[in-house]
Amino acid sequence: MLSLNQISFKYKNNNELILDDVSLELNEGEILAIVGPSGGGKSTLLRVLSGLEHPMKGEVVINNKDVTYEKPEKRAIGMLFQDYALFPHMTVEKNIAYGLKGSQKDRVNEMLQLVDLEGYNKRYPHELSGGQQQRVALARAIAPSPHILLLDEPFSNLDTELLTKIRDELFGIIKSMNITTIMVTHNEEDALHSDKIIRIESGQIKETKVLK
Amino acid sequence: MKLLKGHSPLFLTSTFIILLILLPTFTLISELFTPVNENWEHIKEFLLKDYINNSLILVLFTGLITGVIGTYFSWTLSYYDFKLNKVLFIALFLPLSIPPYIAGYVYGGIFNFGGTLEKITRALEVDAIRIDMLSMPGAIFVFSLFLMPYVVLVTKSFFQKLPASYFESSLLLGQSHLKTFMKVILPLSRGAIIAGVVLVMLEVLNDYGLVKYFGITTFSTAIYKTWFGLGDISSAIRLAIILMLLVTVILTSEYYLRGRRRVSTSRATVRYHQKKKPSQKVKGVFVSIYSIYIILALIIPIGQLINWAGYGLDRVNLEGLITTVVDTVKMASIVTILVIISGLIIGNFNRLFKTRLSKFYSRIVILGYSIPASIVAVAVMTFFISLDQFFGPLYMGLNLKSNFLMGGLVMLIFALTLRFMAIGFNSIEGGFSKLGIKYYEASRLLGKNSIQTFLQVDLPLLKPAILSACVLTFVDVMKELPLTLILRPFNYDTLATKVFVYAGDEMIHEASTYALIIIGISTLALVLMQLLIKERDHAKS
Repeated sequence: MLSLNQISFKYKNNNELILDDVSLELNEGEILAIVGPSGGGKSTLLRVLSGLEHPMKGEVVINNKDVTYEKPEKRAIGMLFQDYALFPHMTVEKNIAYGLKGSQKDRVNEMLQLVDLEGYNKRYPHELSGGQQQRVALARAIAPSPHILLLDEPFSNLDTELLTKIRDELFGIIKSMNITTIMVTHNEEDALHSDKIIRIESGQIKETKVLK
Repeated sequence: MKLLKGHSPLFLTSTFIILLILLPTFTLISELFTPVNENWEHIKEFLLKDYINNSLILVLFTGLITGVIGTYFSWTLSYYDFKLNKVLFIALFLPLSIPPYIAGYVYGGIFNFGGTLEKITRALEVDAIRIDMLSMPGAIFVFSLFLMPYVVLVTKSFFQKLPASYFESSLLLGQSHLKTFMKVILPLSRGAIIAGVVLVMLEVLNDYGLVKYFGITTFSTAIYKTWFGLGDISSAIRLAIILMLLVTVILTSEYYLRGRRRVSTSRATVRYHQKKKPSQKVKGVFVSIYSIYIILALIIPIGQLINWAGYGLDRVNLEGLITTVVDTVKMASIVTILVIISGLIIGNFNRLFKTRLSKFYSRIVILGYSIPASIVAVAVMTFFISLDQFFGPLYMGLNLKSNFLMGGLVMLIFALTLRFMAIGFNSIEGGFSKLGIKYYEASRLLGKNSIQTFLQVDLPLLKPAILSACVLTFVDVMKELPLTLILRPFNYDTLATKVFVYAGDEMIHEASTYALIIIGISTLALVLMQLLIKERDHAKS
């Protein structure tokens, strides 16, 4: 479904390799957790995969199609940002409808039902709690039915009390929709919800663990 | 490697705009290598010293006075809790709506032989007070009164964001309020004060109308006289280059004088100073100085202009007045639109690319404002002469005049856009940097291309920054005198040139109506700006 082949990446004006010959494979519906120390290249891997950065070497293949130099909007990848990045000038329903084409209302309502936020359509992001904002961001990311969902430190902004509940809800939704997912996290407990864990350090995969 | 490649349309349009900004300067420098003539030898031997001395005296004294008074007002209003603090601050900015050349005509008219002051003393049957206002001290007085708000503008936000712990630790270490101010606050705020003073100095060097009316020979008047009086382009260019060096010295000094002192906080949340109730003594001194300032910088000039306008009202050609207002608003609107579009392109380029080149582009745009109008005028005119020469054969083929570009409004629009691009760009760049890249990336990942993202996400979120940029640019273009005066086509007038021409012809009553319209529109815009900022702060909280 997804394969990264020998991806290397470095930023301009910096000679240090952030990703060094990284390869991995993922099947449809699988959840992969990427763990490792800060600055190890975890988030950069997500950015290369999503097309926000282009690798200097290697290829990104999704559904047997080489998308290495494809623009991000053409890749059908959804991303849940660490700080959610909900558009502050749009209501909840407009945020969710943003990535949809054609008739939107039914899909928006379906998503709102899925993330348990019915009745919140007309609220603005700043009128929601942290947990609610995260659920809207998730609904927005999965509304266009992406091939792959990327989660960048999805629980780092949540209170400890809320974390367990929201994490269970989020993985419940992802599994129910059978979306191939890659999650970057610092937290080992978050990673235990995945099917596979890889540890990245200094731009290289140091360890792979299959859980399920 | 970034998502955007070096040859993207954004890069190409930004580079095109930057080349347009730089080309006139290159033309100016290339003219420097033409042989010198007799005029230049004469200017160098007999006049140049005066130009340098006069310009330096004006710049240094005005800078010093505005620095001291501006810092006093700004600090007192930031530290103490007066009733109506916000109104006092807004009133302090209003003199910015009166361009120094208009203020110069007012004070010249009040203190002139047979002027308002003499009429008052005669009516009161007291001895006449004679002050020679049309002099160097008079010019410094007027510049200081009407440019001082720039210092307040820059230092105000700095003072308001100083952590309370600085005062508290100094007071706990046994220092008095005065000593705390002198030993802690003043050294820390040096950078902000100097930035404000440098703005004032650049405005003084930029002025043409006031020094011309006061009969003081500075670089601005000398460049104008050499070019149009003597018809000597080559010497005018040399004068412009020397003025450019002076500006470079000022900007470099600013960089070094700012030093390495910075306000640094080790915590994410900072507690700001809570304003204190002023003592009777502090209140008494402040109210006296503040009242004198407002009387001199606001009440007297506006009162005098209204009075004069009343005398000249029956002689105002209403049709001509309406045409001038429409022409001024049209010109200001066209330039504002061009400035905003250029600012959005270069600001977006800098936000998305973040390379050395994009930073260099931003720097070029910002530096544009520090170049005095007389230099911009000389550079743009030289550039357009070359363009007209280059396209000469084409003009002949199309049956156009040989000075097709120079003779029309294109040259003036180009020069004004160049001069005021920094004003619009500063606001827009501030907006982009607050916005960051996260919404852009989220939108791209949700299937929108860069243009859809710009229209649906960036533009609505940048609205407050764009509005501020529009207001500031519009007001500055409307008030602008030297560039418009030098580069306007034959028989084309704006409100500012009308004021200049009438005042120069001793028709101050006629000039007053036009001056009041400039002040009225500027005041409205400034108040609107303050309300916008207030609304934005309110929305944030």
